[in-house]
Amino acid sequence: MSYYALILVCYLGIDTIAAWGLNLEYGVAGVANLGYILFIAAGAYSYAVLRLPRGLDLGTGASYIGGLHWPGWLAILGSVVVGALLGALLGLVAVRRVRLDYFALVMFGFAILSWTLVGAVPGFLGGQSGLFFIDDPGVSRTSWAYAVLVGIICVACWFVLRRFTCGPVGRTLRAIRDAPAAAASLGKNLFGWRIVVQAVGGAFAALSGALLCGFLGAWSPPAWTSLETLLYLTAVIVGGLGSDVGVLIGVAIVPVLIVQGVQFLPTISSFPQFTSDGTMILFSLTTLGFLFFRPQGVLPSRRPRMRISTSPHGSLGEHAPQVATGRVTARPRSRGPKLLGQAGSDDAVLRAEDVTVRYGGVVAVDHVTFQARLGTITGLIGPNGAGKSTLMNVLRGTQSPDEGRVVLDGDDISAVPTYRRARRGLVASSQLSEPFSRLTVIENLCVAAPAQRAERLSGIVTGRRLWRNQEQVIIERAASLLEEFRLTSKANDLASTLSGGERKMLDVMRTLMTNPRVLLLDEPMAGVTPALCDRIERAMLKLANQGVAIVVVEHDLASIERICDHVVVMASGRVIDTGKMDVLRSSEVVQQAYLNG
Amino acid sequence: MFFSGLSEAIGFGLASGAVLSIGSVGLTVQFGISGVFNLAYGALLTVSAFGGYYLVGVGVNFWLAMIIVAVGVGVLSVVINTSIYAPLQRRGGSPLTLIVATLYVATFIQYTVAAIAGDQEVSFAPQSGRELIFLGFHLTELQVEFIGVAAVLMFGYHILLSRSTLGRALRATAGNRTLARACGIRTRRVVDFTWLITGMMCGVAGMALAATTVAFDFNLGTLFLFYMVAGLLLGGAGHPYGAMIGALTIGVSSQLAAFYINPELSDVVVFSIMVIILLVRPRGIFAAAAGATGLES
Repeated sequence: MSYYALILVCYLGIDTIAAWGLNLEYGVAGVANLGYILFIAAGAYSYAVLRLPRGLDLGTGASYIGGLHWPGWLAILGSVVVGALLGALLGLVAVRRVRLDYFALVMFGFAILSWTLVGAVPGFLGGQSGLFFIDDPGVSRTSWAYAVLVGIICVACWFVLRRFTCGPVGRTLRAIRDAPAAAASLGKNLFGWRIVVQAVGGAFAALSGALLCGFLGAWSPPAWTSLETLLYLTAVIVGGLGSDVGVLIGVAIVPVLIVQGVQFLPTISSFPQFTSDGTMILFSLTTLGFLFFRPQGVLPSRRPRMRISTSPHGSLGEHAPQVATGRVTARPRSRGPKLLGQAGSDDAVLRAEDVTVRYGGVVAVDHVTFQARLGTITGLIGPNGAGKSTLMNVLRGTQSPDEGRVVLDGDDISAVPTYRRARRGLVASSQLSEPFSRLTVIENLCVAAPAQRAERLSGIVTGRRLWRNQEQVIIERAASLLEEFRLTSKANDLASTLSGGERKMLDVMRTLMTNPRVLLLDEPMAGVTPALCDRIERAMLKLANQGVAIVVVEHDLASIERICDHVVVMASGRVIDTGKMDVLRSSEVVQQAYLNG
Repeated sequence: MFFSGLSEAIGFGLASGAVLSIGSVGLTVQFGISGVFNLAYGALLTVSAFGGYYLVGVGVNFWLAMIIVAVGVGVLSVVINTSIYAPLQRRGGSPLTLIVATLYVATFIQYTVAAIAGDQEVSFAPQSGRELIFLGFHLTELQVEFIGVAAVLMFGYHILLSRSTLGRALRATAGNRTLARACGIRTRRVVDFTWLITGMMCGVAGMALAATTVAFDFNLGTLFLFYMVAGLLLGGAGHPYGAMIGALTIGVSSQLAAFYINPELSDVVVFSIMVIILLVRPRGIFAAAAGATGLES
């Protein structure tokens, strides 16, 4: 009986490590790795061939590569490295190229493929009959010492895990999960983060596999069928996606559920292969039930609450041209000192040169040349289908031009990915608002802060000490922005609970958090009430006064007239006129375009 | 010897490709119109195989059994979509959540079949051992019949898509469901219809697969699912014509691999094709060639 308890405790620890890794990948970073078992198997096989002596006769006619006879701790370490490398490699190859739902399929297929191959080749990893006679890692697998070892490693894993699931890094990963395109536009390197996550998840899986292999003393294909991934996925879904403590509970529930379903005491060889049909049926129904009725799991991931001081002086911009309640009636003539750049042609910080985009046979943008100057607001107007949003996407980097180029600070950035453009100060908000819906409003803003120390390797290794002060500054900045836009009361609400107009404001505020030099706003005021529009206009004028170049697409021509120094009119993919709004209003070409468009 | 084997392999490849294309087209149309990548399709294939096996076992004519199974699996597909996938989509489930959900539905169905049918391998009574020489290929009578069934289904599907009002409604729904609804198309009914016909195709494919396989058990559909997915991806997800060509390609290449390399490794070849396609040309190879009538979502 006490041996049975030992088995349960060891499995709890080993499965928890694996489930944490999967939770980091799927629950936190939003990458569904349906071939997760492959990494567990990689860890187990690595441990086996590193620990086994060379050329041991397995008695099955099969043999294995390696056989380095390393000490236990080194074999475990080796497995972790193999898992991390495999994760990074598959991440590098697959996540870069493939949509995330296809990635899930690729990994599912890849796990089955590897399983078939390993079973079919007897000279590689023991073939179908597998490897056995594997030594424990120096701690007896039949004593409670093994449970203690697993426990210690679990605690160590917890601290590593929290470096990625909590704080600014966790926030960034969750932002990428909720709205990848928006995160890239704010300077987050999606691929980089996803590869890091795959590597860490792979390392966790491999560690779990090595400990399992050390505990069982054997490893073979039946131990890692593709259904095993479902076991961990269920633990994560039942426990609570993205919740580290919840996953611990999920792991405790799921094996218990299986043990009860199978109705026999688990022996070492039969436990991980839940062969009973009834168990599988119960198991899938439970998970579907959770997906339906409690998608957040038993213990949902908590959202951080930030205390925000509502200081009376606030920080409403000193440059605010009007009293708080009034509309902006006329744009100020003089713009104050320019902080960046000089007057003249150097002001044209961002240029589109001869840009053409075709969708099949349709020319959406037709040889457009256009520029944005520091300290000015450029309006981009035109009827629907004129190619405004496509042009904005080309500037933003989410669409590559078929011809022509985009130039920032004199450098051709046509091939520079979105996040690098953002880091160079070219920041965009898209036409449809893209909140990080499962983050709070203030977290949405904090994500956008540039050059966060916590996101660097040194920040992850050193921990809170290195970034605590910077984080405080970021939160204060976010709080003052919230106050400026009068959203302080919503600071700790989930972004998904905001109204359409508030989401638009959140998008604009997020771009402001990045300290942009060039700001691209695609219909920032669509669907926003006049009072809120006023705040957005005010913020744009303030930024322009500080020397930021702003390009804004907008249908509200009155608003364009109030804030824009320069207006570009597009129709059918071409620029048909440019100049001041009051002049353009009487232009016959423009009137024709709008009437025919 | 070399060439006679080759023509046999190609013949078998065409026959299995024909069965595969019925499944692949069903799967790709489901994905194109409702946006669900339904991993339970393989499990439903198993249901069809066992359904047909039992019906034929009690003396029902094979082709009649096929029709009964097709209707039954079609209705089952509609039920699964309306009771599980559609509600999850309405609650804002991401495509990823849906894939995960379909995986659990697949597991549920597969092990329900296992619980009822047991884990023994079964096989259809040999329908016809007579060998025909058809277009220079050696095929059994049954294989030729299935190639015919596949051709009729594909042609019918083509007519449905290109010539009928319903086909136009299907394409509109695939393009933009909200807009289609705003234009007066009853999109929910279109989606139900889609699941019905694709489910029926799954039923036909399942019966055909089971009848041309030596023996099968409750795992039949799981592996075949990846053959269908490979065919689908080769043709570009959501493109029915692409899926037809893709499935034939997969069928022939897996038989060639089995003939020239090793029968055990033909799965490996198919998986490799799938993975490579996803990495190199995630939009598929035949999508552009298949024309603009795709149901790309």
